[in-house]
Amino acid sequence: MKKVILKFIELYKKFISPIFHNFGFDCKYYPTCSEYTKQAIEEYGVIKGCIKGMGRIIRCNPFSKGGYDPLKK
Amino acid sequence: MLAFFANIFGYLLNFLYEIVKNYGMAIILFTLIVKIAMLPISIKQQKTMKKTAKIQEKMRIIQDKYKNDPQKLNQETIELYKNEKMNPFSGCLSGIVQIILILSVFYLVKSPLTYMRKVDPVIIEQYTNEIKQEGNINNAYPEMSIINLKGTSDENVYVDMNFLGLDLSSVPSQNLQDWRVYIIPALYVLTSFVSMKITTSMQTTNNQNADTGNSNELEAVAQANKSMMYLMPIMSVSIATIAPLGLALYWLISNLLMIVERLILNRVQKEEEEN
Repeated sequence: MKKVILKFIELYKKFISPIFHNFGFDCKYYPTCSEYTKQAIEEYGVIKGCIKGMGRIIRCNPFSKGGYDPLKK
Repeated sequence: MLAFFANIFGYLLNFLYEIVKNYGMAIILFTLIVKIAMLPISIKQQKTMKKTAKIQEKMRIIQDKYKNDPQKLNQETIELYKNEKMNPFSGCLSGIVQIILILSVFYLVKSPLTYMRKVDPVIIEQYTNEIKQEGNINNAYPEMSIINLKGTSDENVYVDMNFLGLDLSSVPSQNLQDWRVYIIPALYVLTSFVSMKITTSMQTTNNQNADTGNSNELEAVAQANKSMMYLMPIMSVSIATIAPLGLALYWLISNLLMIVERLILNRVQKEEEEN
């Protein structure tokens, strides 16, 4: 399960993310939301990792500040 | 999940349909409301456009410089993000919201009886089977067949699809002989190019202000953007030809509104800068 989701995130980063970039949607954080979610899943497991990732994506909106935001361990 | 959003948008579209009693007009009003709801985001993006261009430029330079050194690239990117107090990019959530919006409108236009009129699935099933036996079913969009064939006798499944003489339930790729189906997609392509021209001309003036990077790099980027610029409308048009015209109408109106919005916001910004 964990491996499948991580693979899915990898595929997203490789193929889907560039499309978003071309339409003018860029992640405003570093590491990016997908990288952050990947790390979170590796660190906390699928459920908690996904929740953390989703929280990050919700924070990644036009009204937030963005910037350097690593996963807090 | 998409069905859930299509249902919510369906309530709004149905409410508008009840008022104007015409599917085309309801779609136009619907588009207007969606655009107004997104207005704060557009204003925000317009305001930070210059800053966005600047940061994108810096990113590109770093990426180019440390192409073969991922570790250094990471470090430099962290530095850049730390130095800029606020990153003006629109963010991941905006992209996801856009995708959800596009797909749920597609659902909505594909099955207006289910999502807009909230017709009982049992009734839809029953009519579908009836039409199937008669051999007139449109396999890709059975609800369009129901509206056209059963709408006259049962007003529960009736939707007024006539818009300025165009039948919004028709699918361009299934009605190739009828020249009228090309009007909306053609206008859509036209407005796409106009809106892209406006956007690119605004971006180039911004880039001139942000005097970073060398000209070769800029040219390569501009070239890549250009090919992308044509890919997008080609993609949308291919989708629009296999979907009922209602979808193309939604895209056309949202393009027109975007052009108007850009022009107005641009003017407002210029006036603010002058004052």
